[in-house]
Amino acid sequence: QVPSVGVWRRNACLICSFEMSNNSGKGSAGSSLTFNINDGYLDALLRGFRIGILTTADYSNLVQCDTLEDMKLHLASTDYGDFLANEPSPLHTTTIQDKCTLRMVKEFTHIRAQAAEPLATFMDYISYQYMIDNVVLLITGTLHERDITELIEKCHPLGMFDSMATLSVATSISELYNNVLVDTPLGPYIQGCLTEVDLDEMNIETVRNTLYKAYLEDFHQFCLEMGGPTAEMMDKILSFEADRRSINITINSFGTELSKDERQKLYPNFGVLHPEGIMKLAKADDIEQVRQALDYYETYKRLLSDSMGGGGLGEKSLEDSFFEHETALNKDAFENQFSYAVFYAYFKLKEQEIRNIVWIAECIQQKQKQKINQFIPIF
Amino acid sequence: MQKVEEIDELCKRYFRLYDKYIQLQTSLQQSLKSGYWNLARSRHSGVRIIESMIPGSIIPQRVIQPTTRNTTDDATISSVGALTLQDNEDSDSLEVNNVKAKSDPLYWFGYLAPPQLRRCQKEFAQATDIAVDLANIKIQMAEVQARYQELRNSS
Repeated sequence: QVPSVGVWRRNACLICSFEMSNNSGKGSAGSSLTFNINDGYLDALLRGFRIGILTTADYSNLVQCDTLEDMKLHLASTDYGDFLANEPSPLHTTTIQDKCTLRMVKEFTHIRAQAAEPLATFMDYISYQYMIDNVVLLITGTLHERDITELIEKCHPLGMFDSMATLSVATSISELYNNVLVDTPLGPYIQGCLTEVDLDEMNIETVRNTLYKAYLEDFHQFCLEMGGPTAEMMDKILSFEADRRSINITINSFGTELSKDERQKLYPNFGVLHPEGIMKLAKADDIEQVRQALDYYETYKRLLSDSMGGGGLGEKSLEDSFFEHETALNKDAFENQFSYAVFYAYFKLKEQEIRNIVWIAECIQQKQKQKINQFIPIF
Repeated sequence: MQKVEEIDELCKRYFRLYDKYIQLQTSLQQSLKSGYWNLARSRHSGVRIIESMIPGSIIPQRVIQPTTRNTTDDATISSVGALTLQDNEDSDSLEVNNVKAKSDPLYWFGYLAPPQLRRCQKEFAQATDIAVDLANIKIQMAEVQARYQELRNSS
């Protein structure tokens, strides 16, 4: 017996109220009823871009190349097209990297230009990490007496802001904040380390990590407030990013003058490792103690043992294991719908693709073809 | 007869030096290959190693000093030229606006350097040592060759 119209109407209302109650956050990001109104077109466009990501077949063609010119030919038959056509030969790996990055930037700006809120703010958050890298590059270059115009040319295009040229006058962190960062989106992030101490390499690293920690925490909070599948997926991705930063800061600080207290201040305050794992990492003095600290966390224990158990020659570094796990998380983002996580995931996968292409190019140029398969295939 | 024996000794010494030269060349090649490889791996793991981050004025950490040495291999060659690698006393730091930038190149690209970059620096430092040894071997080979020529011409 066919249900009556009344029954259909009642069921439709139940579904609507269920959807609405699932999304208690800002906007209606993640609601299957309303996502496509503002963001459907860009979501579809992005999924179209995603199909152009290089596949295993493309990589198997690239690894068989003997010169960078051959690589250029093979890349011409992919979505990259003849992006290297006007480059003078001989090609360099840095040229390939720059041109691939420019393509990614073009896609990003195309989507960002058409994004409505809250997607626009979400994409701005993605660009802040490049802004932090640019700020650090400019301060370091100034410390090393390099010309500011030369440094600005080397900045990442997605991280540009108006007062970049004035970074050369900042000699201490509080000057940096008062004269430059206060008018940029990074202003609030520097609150944690405002001092009058002069900028040297160690302080610059502290600035970089403090900015990044505050940015990551702010981005994480923004995603959680959005609710729905965006919050669910971005929580996983950003938690991994926070944990990865904590582990890398710990390992790279061995043998430097960075004290344990200073190191602990740089760890983000969210993630799987927070708070017990973080406390153990803060006390670690060598890689063995890091391994013990991560022993209770199955994923990280596996990643660390993969990188150290591989013949002891360091063929697969910890960074490679992290990239592999990050790629897996980003691929999962595409399995869900009505989520902004696909936008973040796509650009991270593009970055991984560029790393892969540059890796293959370096192996070809340095005639180390036996190590060429250490890239991470995506699809 | 003594001259013939001396010529024989010089030939033997020359071939020993040449053997050592070939071994050092192979080591140099390995060190440089490994150094460039670790540099590529550092870039791959995210360190931005670009020319713009290198200080405008570089003070070397080690300098080559020409010295003399007395050989014990052959009594006829007493003091010859040689090269040694020494730490540069002026390499304390670069000063810009009264702030000391690190003179160790490892920290130019970020204070928290990854293990690959440290390995890279070690390899290139080792390559420098090998290059100096190679230069010294070449000096010794040239001396042996000159002495051999002198003995042959006088016989």
